[in-house]
Amino acid sequence: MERQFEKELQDLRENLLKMGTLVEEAIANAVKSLVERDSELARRTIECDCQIDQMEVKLEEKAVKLLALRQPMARDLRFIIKSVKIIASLERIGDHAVNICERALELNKEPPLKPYIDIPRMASAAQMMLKEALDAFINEDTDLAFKVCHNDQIIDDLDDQILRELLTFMMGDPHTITRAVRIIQISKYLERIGDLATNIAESVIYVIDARDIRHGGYIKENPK
Amino acid sequence: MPNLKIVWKLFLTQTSLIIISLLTIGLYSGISLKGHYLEQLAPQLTTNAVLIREIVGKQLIKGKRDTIDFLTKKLGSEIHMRVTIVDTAGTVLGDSEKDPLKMGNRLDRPEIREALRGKVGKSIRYSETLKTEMMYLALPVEIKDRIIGVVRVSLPLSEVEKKGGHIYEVIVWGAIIAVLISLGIGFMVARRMGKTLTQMTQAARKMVRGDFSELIRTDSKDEIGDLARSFNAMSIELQNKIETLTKEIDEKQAILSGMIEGVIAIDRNQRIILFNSASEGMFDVSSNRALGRFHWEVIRHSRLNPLFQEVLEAGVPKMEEIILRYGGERILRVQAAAIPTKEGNPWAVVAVFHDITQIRNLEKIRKEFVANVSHELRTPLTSIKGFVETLRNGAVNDPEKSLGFLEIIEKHTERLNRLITDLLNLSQIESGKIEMNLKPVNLVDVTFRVISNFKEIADRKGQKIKVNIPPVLPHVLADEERIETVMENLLDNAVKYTPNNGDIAVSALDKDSGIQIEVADTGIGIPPNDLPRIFERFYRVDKARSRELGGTGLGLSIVKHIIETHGGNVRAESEVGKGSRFIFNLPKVSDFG
Repeated sequence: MERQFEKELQDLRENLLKMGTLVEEAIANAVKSLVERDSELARRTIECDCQIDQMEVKLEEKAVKLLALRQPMARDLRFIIKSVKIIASLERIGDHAVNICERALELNKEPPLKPYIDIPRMASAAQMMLKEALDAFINEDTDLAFKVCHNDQIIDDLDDQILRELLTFMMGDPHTITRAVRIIQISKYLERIGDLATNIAESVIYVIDARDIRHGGYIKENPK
Repeated sequence: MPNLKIVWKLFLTQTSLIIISLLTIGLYSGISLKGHYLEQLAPQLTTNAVLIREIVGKQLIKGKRDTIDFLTKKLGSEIHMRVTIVDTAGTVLGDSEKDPLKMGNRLDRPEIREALRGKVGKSIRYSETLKTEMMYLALPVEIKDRIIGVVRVSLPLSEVEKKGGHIYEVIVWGAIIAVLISLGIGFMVARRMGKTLTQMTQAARKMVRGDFSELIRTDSKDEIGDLARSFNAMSIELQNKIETLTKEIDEKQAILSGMIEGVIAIDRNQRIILFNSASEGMFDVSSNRALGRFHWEVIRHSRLNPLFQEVLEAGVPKMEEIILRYGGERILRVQAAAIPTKEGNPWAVVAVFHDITQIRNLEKIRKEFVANVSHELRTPLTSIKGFVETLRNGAVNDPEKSLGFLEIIEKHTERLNRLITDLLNLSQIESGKIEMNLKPVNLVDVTFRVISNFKEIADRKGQKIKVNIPPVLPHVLADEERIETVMENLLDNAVKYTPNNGDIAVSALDKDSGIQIEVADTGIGIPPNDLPRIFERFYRVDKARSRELGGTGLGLSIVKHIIETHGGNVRAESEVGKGSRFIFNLPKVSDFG
């Protein structure tokens, strides 16, 4: 009985990671389709999103079943509850990847505004955050999870920078406005991905330490 | 004290054995000794009784009570026995210990009754009179076959008891001494055994920790000695085995870590059992972190994870190309194969990862090259074809126009010619087929010669060529013509890409690593993204401008190949808008030995 429960938890963990992998790849492909102006890749990535959506439904059902049938306690309970949250966050990230692809499709129809410099940097930061949040989840590494929470600042700064830069473009030449707005949207999507990765990292800390550090709680506990 | 338990065990068994045996012997000998004494006592009593009968018998006939009593007392004190004379009615006539008048009738005593029947009465019982266990022997006093009294001799058994008690005492003391001795022996034996055993225990504990250095010293010939010797032999044998195994494992480990290919093995439960150092680099995970964990925890890849599973389930080897996203995009070719058990079911998967990023990049460059060559060749050809058609369609009759067209055609033909010559040169240098006419070359001469060729063009553009070359430089072993080509190409680029009134500087340095020549300009510069690729064939930073300036796109590529064929190296530094520097090295003559 106990072993069976362990196996089911393990299964949930495994599938959650698989979903994470799909999401990680979706972001990577979305950014690649934008930077390399590869519309074909963008379309494929949009199609892949339904796989992520299916996994969300399946995994949530699994988690609810575990809660109902096993009535887990303590850490297992925290794990399952936070799994549901992580699954939701991953799905949202997947949606943002789709949004990026859609903007990329629109942008690819027009001549490039300027070479992308900060967007790829921001994307790789967001990807890294998601990767590290998932790594922290697997390795039960709270230090790494804290690091993810702090790294969110980098993305926020880049977001500001992109906005300022594009504002000057738009002020200089109104023809650039449509494209610039789309790039600003992409920057916002990436910023949101960073926030969601932070949420995942916070959930990881909650599962391991039973500490709730959301909404700035960690700033008091870990002034760095 | 080590091995107290063994000491106690030995001691207790020994002691209990000794006590039991001593008790048995003691009891048995006590009882038999008592019997023996009693047996000896009876004849003694009989003899005494017979003698007393002789003495007292006469008095008994006379019936003098006083005399009898007196005699009895005297005899009794002399033979240290109690003597009693009783008549046939049981009345005590004389007694050696008590006053006969105060003693009651003795007819009820068994020995007396027996004696009165004419037999020898014998009995052992408790004497009411003397309050002690006594042995009695009674003899009838007979005169002419008529019994007239009884002589009874008795002895307290306490004498016998005393002698028996002495024996018990000896036995108890013996037992105590024996116990003490056995304790001592036990301690000694246990200590000897214990020492060896303790040593063995310690050695065994060390063996558990992998230390086989301790051998047990023993000169004992018994089983414990044998055990110790076998233990030593086992220890040595084990050490050898482990060393052999460790060596084998180390060798395999060395082979695995020496491989450029990443090797990962996964067991039935999808856990990683092997993760070599190349894969550590590929996936940026340390092997201690990876070993024993699920592959989907360590490497998250939507193609790789299912691949492992498929191979494990189907047992069929698979090959696939995957793209890694982190740490720069890299292309890996994975070859995964299942390792079957004897029954044929796969129990593990071994995957070998080749990093084929470079191969893929080279393929890409090759493809681009073919495309570029066709393009470069077609551009002048299209113009030539176009002008030839124009001429044929009537322009040939207009001498002025036709001359202009022919000039253009000539220009493009020259361009084609140049292109093909460059291509041929390049492929010859590259394939190494070309004979290098190597001899000591004075670079100072070559440089000045080339510069003088460019003087005119530079002057026309208002450019200044600064020369900073020491008057004497060590000779280099080189093909003079080819080095001239290198200098020409570099200076040609410098002049082309430097705006009017710019500066060009040619300098040379005698360095330990060889002669270093530098061509610097204040031209438009090369963007950092393009810098690593400028030595590639047909690579152009600004395609339109380059062609306009008459370049073939092969100049720098030729420079690079010539310098490298000479054993030197070339590099470029640049800053957009400020200028570029091309630096190459050539080994000195002495360096060739």
